[in-house]
Amino acid sequence: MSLSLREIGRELRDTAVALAPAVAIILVFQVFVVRLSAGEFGRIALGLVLTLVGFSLFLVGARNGLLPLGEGIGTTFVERRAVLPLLTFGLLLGVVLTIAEPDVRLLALQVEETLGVLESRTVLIIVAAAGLGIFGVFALLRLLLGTPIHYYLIPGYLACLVLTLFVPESGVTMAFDMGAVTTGPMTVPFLMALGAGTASVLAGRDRFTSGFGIMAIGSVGPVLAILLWNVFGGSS
Amino acid sequence: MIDELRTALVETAEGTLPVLGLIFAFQFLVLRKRPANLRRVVIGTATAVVGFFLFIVGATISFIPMGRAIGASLADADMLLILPFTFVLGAVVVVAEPAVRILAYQIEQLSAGSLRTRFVIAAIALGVAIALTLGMWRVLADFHLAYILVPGYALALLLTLFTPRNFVPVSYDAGAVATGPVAVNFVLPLFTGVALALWGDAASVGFGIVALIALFPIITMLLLGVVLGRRKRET
Repeated sequence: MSLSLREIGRELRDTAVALAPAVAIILVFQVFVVRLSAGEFGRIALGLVLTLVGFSLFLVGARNGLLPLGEGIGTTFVERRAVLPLLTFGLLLGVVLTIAEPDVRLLALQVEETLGVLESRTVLIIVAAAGLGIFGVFALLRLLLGTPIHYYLIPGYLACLVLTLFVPESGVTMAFDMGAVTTGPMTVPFLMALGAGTASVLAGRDRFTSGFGIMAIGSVGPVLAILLWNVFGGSS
Repeated sequence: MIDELRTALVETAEGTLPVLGLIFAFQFLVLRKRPANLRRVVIGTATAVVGFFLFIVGATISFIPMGRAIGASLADADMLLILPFTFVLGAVVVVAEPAVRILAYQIEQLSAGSLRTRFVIAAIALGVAIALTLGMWRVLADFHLAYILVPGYALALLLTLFTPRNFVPVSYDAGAVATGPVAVNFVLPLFTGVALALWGDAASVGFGIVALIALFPIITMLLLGVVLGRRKRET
């Protein structure tokens, strides 16, 4: 058995539901306000279909291909109690999954298109990815050590707020926007699975408290990384 | 169209090759194990790569330009019309996000039913609606994002200390799930569309809305925690 058509069908339905309100607004504005020509709107309609199909295939494919493989590798390290390889793998996987997050790319494209301020969107993405990787490791460490989440979130966000005063506004918006999108369909399932796996091996810990919060800690990283990159003159 | 296809192809290669390289390197060089179901893995991976490409092409020719066009048409409208519109937009757009519903369901499961799914979704939707309204006000009045972000995060950190402790992680996760594909590819271009129409080249004020969508659900979820925590103590 490979990919089941039923799973693709279910994903298409879920994505269609998610996009429906936005599509409804697009239709209303097309009919009453924007009024593009039939040809122009045809291109939009084609794009809407491609978005729906593409996003669904991406999710189903990732769920059946890469994610189980990544989780399997993580679980092996957890079972062998190989902490250092687990953290190394967590760091590297956090980086490459952020690079593979489609919304990260689409945000960087829009920044470049609208403002033209980016020297290189690839560098911006790599800085954000490094931030997520490093803080992903902090999140795993928290599970291993059992420290309360405040100890990470409060200093992390306070540092971000202080840095905000030293960075031009375009850098601030870029950092916080980017931080918000690094947690998407690629990074979230992997971080959740790796976290749940780690938490389940550590017996006697309250899952409601420790299994969650990985994304919360992880998404501080990109914000901090981009702000620091701005402070030290990485972007002009 | 050729340009969009070329961009999407480059983005797909840059996006997917590193993760493929890393996972296969660990699987074959470190674990030295053939994956249990290699055929499924290969087909799944190929499907994901094709989907990635189609998604980038689709979003760049549909949601992004249309969002921008809608934003441009809103720029002429009255402020008393735009702000309620963005409030409703925020509430409606989020309820549909699958990631939001999955998180809400997981919270209900792990809290043994004491936190109902619909409370969680309502709290997140309210948060996003507030985020969009404040964000649109910022675009119309053109002020620095920090005037919303700094008090917002200060409030969130303060509430973190007063909410029941097991509420903290899920609240921060709620901020992360609210920023899905619709936020980036429809709400953001809509905001930059308004900003471009109003402010021309200085349209950077349109950005920052995704950051606000990530912030306000945290605040509303933490508030929900404070309220529920107090109620539990009284009974």
